[in-house]
Amino acid sequence: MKPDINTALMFCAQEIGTLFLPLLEKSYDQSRLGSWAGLMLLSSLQIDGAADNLNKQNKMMLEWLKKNKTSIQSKTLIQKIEECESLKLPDIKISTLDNFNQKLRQIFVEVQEVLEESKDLEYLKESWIILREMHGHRKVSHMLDLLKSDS
Amino acid sequence: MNNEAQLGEEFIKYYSDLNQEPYSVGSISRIFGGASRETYRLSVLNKDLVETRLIYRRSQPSALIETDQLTEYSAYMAFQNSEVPVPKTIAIEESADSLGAPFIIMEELIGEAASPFDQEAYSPHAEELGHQFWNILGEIVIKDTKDPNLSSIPGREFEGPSWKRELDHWVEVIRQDSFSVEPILEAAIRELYRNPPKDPVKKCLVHGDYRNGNFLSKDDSLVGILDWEMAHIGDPLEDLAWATSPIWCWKDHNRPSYLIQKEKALKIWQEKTQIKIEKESLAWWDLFACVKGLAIWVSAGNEFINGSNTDPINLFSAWIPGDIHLEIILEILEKKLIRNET
Repeated sequence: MKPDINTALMFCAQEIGTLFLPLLEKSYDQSRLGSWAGLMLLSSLQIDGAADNLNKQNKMMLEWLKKNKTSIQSKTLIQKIEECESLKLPDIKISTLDNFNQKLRQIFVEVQEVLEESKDLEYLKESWIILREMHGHRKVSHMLDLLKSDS
Repeated sequence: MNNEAQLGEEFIKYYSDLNQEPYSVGSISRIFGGASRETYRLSVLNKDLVETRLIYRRSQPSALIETDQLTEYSAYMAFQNSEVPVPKTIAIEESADSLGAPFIIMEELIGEAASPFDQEAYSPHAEELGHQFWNILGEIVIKDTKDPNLSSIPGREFEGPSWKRELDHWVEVIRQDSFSVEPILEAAIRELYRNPPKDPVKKCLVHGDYRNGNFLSKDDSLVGILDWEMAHIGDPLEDLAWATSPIWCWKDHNRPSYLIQKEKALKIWQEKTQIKIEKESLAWWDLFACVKGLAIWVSAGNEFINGSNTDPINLFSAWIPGDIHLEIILEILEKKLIRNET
């Protein structure tokens, strides 16, 4: 449906900030409404890419886990990875992708721990590259560099 | 009658009884920020219309981090009329019987609290305020922990390592309140348990949230150290690492709390405390500061999600400081991995 939800949220946040905020008398109410407007603006920035980001994260983690099966002794852990490999998601709703993402994250943590114990630096290094990329998908990550450089 | 006016009326009955003379409410307004307490600024008038300005801090029905009011009040009591500026204490009620929630009352200090994310907040007095800020932290470290006012401060009876007490506590908060799996945070927790810091030369009073934003300043004077609800007995490096954490000086990592240069800050602290900073131990507390921070932000997100406290400060905390702390952990652990490779 057009206009897109993110466009609507952006205008709504602007209107709260410019039209309604000055009407409030108490500083507490002003600060609280101002915070809502800011958070609404932040939310609008991420809506479009949310599903795509989750999908990319899931692919990256799954690929890395598949590659690492040879370095893992634990049968339970291998079984968990294989279950994820064979899983067919019923749809591409954000909630479905996110549930799968959480499952993969949990296994990712377990495998990272195994590799730390065996000091397998090569695969560990790859895992941190993935985590860096995943972190780049977070809500304010893209703003952190701007915050740093505006000094 | 609106909520604030009703609170004011209930408060003034209590306050009049406390002072055994009639008072009236001049004004009452809630202060924004901080999700663990509802904080109100009150002006009260006696029968001769003489004004007293008060701060009234009530526990939230659902507090972000469960701390009792006594901890904060005890710390204020311990530093009355000392080199560590704190508000004058008036009363504490630990039960909800009197006014519907536990609370403390203090005299209001006149000064400004800045946003911890505002790089220019203390300009043009950053130098003077910086010296006071780091000296005061030193004063807190050298405070005699046997002061009877500190008898109920958490950690006083704990004989084991402070690092473990603190790490166990915050990891427990994360385990209870997390709604999602965060591999970066989990890696930091593993790293901290694997490589603990050295025992401190002494245990001391730890403020628990010593940073920009939690003190009041007026021009070039630091007039009050606030928000002691996470105070405990622990390692002197804990507050130092928390106060110098990049999150509180994100736009200028070498000027912690946007005051003076880090090197100068550490020198002032060392001179005041006479404690030599052990580099590797401080690095441990730097990483711990991120884990503790994330526990707080995770807890904020939990309160927002479960609907117990939908103040936007909780959503803000979960999104923005949460992301920043993950970024700091990433930087620390990536560097460590590179060091291990070479």
